[in-house]
Parts: sequence; C-alpha cells; structure tokens
Amino acid sequence: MTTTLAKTEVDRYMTAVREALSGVADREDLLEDLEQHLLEVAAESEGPLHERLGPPADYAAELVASAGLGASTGPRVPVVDAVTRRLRAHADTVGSHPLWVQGSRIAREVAPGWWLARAYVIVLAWSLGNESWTLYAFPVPRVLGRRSIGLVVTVGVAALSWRLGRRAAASRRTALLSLAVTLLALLGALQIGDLVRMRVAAGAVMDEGSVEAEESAWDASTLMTGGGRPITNIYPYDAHGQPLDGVLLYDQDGRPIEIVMEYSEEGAPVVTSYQLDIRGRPVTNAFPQRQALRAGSEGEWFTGEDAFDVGEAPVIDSPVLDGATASEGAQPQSTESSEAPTTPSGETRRPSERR
Amino acid sequence: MDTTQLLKGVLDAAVLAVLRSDDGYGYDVVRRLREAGLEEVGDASVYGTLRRLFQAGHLTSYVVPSDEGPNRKYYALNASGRDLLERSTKSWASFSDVLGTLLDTEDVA
Repeated sequence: MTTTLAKTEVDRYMTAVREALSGVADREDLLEDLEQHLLEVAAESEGPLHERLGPPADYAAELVASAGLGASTGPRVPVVDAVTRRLRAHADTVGSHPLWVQGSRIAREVAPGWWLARAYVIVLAWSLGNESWTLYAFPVPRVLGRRSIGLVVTVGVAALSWRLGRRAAASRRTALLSLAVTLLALLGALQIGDLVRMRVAAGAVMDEGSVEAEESAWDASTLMTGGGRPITNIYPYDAHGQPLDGVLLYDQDGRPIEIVMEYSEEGAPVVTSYQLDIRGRPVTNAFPQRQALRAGSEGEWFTGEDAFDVGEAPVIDSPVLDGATASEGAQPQSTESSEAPTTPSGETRRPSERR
Repeated sequence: MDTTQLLKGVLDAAVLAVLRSDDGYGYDVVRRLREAGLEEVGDASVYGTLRRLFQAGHLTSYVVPSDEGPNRKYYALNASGRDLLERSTKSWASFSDVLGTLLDTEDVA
C-alpha cells in the first residue's frame, strides 16, 4: 500500500473504532496505541485493514472485553445483576417472537418515510407555536412570517433528519439522537392535534338560549389585516365618529360578512355569542360581536350574558365624513352615544360599557 | 477443541510469558505470539490484555520516541508480573496434567 492510501484507511478505521467506543471510560487510553498499530498492520500486508483485523466495531468490542471494561464500572450488586439478567432474558424472548420480528422489519422499511415526515411535523408544530396558531399554517408552515422561508426550512430539516436516520445504526450516540428527534416530532404531533381539536370545539358556541351558531366553513375567506394578523371583531362607527351597535354587514352579492377567525393573535380561542333575530336564530353578521376572550382551556362553555362583551373598542382617530350634517348633534370620538341604535331583535340597546 | 475459547483463559499467561523474554509493545507482542504458534490471537485482545495487566499492577510501561510516527508504548514485567507468571505456569502445568490424564483415559486407542 502506498503511504497516503494507507494513512487514509488507518484514519478511517481509527475513527470508526473511536465512534464504536463512544461512552466507554478511558476511551483515549484504549486508543492510544491504535494508530501506530494500524500503521504497522497496514505496512505488513496488502489487504484492507478490516480483512486483517475484522470490522472496527468488532475490534472495539474485543478491546473493551479483554481490557475488562465490558461489565459495569460500579460495584456489583447481586440484586441488580439478577434483575438485569432477567430483563435481558425477557428482551431475548420478545426479540425472537415472530410478531416482533415482523414488526421490526416493517418498521425498518417505513423508517425513511418517517424521517421525512417527522421533519415536517417538527417544523409545522414550531410554526404553529411561534408564528400563527391557526389552520393557515397548513400545508406549508410559515417561518418568520413567510411560507417561502417555511418551505426552505422544512426541506433543510428533512435533509438533516434523513441523514441522521441513515446513520442512526452507526453508533449509540447517533441512535439516541435519532430517537430524540422522533420523540420531538411526536410531541409536535400532539400539539397539532390539540389545535385541530380546539378549533372544532370553538366552532360551536353556547349562549343563554343554548343556540349553536352555524359552524363557519373552514374554507370561508377570512378578513385579515396586512401582515396576516387576524380580525376577530369589527367596530362600526358612524359618520360622526359614534360607535354603532347591531350593524349588519353584507358584501356586494348580498352575502352576510362573517368573521371566521376564531383565534386571537396570541392564540387564545375567541368564543362569540351571536345576537339573535326575532325568530331566535343567531345573526352572524351583526357587529360588533359579543365575545369572551379567554386564554383557553378547550371545551369550556361560557354561560351567562355577562360572560360575553363587545370588548374594549379600539382607540381610533375616525375622520368625520364630509357631508355629515351637524344637526345630529353628537360629539365626535365620544365613547358614549346619545343615540341608541336598534338591534335586529327589535330591542333598543345601549352599547355595553366599555372597560 | 476451539482454540479461541481456550486462548481466552490463558492469554494473560501467554502475554506475560512473551514479555518475560523481552519487553514489547502491542504489535510486537501480537507478532511474537503468532510466531510462537498462537495464530488465532486477536490484536484487540492482546492490547486489551496488556492494558488490563498494566492496570492491575503487573506491568510497567515506558515510551520510546519514534521517528516514523507516534511514540511506541513498551510494556515490561515487574516483580508482581513475574510472580503472577510463575503462579500461572504452575497452575497451568497441573491443569494440563489433570486434563491430559482425563483425556487419555477416555481415549479409545
């Protein structure tokens, strides 16, 4: 063997043995003479090192065994030994069971798909937790607010996960690392499942009359401000800057405009109690809506009228529209209106007290 | 008989014996064992054994600088090692006696 070729092979063998010895006490001591030994072995014969010495993992195992490091490093406790032996026996029994063997074979074939899937789950769960706690994170999760970045990140994480999965068998450390990533993905999947569950729960609403609002379609278009911040309520004001109540909104085709965004920006579920019409049916396009903003435990039903409120009206600088008559007599931007608008149910109502 | 199994039991003694005639380093000890006829001995086993004997206090070691690469670590018997070797020699002698007799008796000529 030429010198350079030999050196590369020696390095590679050396690295493999070192990796196989990860976690072993006094590893460096054991490896101390190895490089020299490998060089001499390489010099004496033509064949590859592992032909002469056996595979690196075997070499490492033999080294550990003959150096007396195979057993536990602590004091031997008979009870612990007996239990360990019993556990190992059980493990052997399970391991040779045909169901287990079949299962492991299937698992090994499915593994590559899982390496990719777990990467996606992790990025998705992260996106849901940090970016937007809504179903608009599907299918491409947002990172730093953008789907394009999310796509790049997902692909990158998938590549890393793949590499890690491929090399999981190489050493104990990589195996544990791969397992950790899998567990992380499982946690992420739980988080995603939580979100889905909460959305379904928040779709139904209870108020005093035990009326369930019609569940808004998932693919309904949603009002959003620029930058993707959700709109959870609408506060109408009249031409003089007076806040209005019980305003019905329709689009150009006569369709009622609904608010579909059921989560505030912080991720709290927004539960709405729709006002009822004279026939007791909920009116979903009357604004401002009465809502209970609570950082949510899912499935918590709100009862009692005082659980719902129109909430704090945002501070606005509403323009006074040109052409508004002065005879209305109201002051601009006051929070109390002197006129009480009528609601669809026929009652006159004052806007609820602002907090 | 499977010599690998036999060897495991007596490798300590074999290594000590090799070092008695002359100090040696890992590769060297492996070579000498093989030349003596123990072709099955594994390199890793020899290294591990040297280390274990050293840790147990039966060997001393010293480093010889080398021009061509990493320095070589030589091992040598100390008093304890020589003592162990003597005891091992005796017990091996009596053991092989006993086993020899046993095998002879069973042997159908």
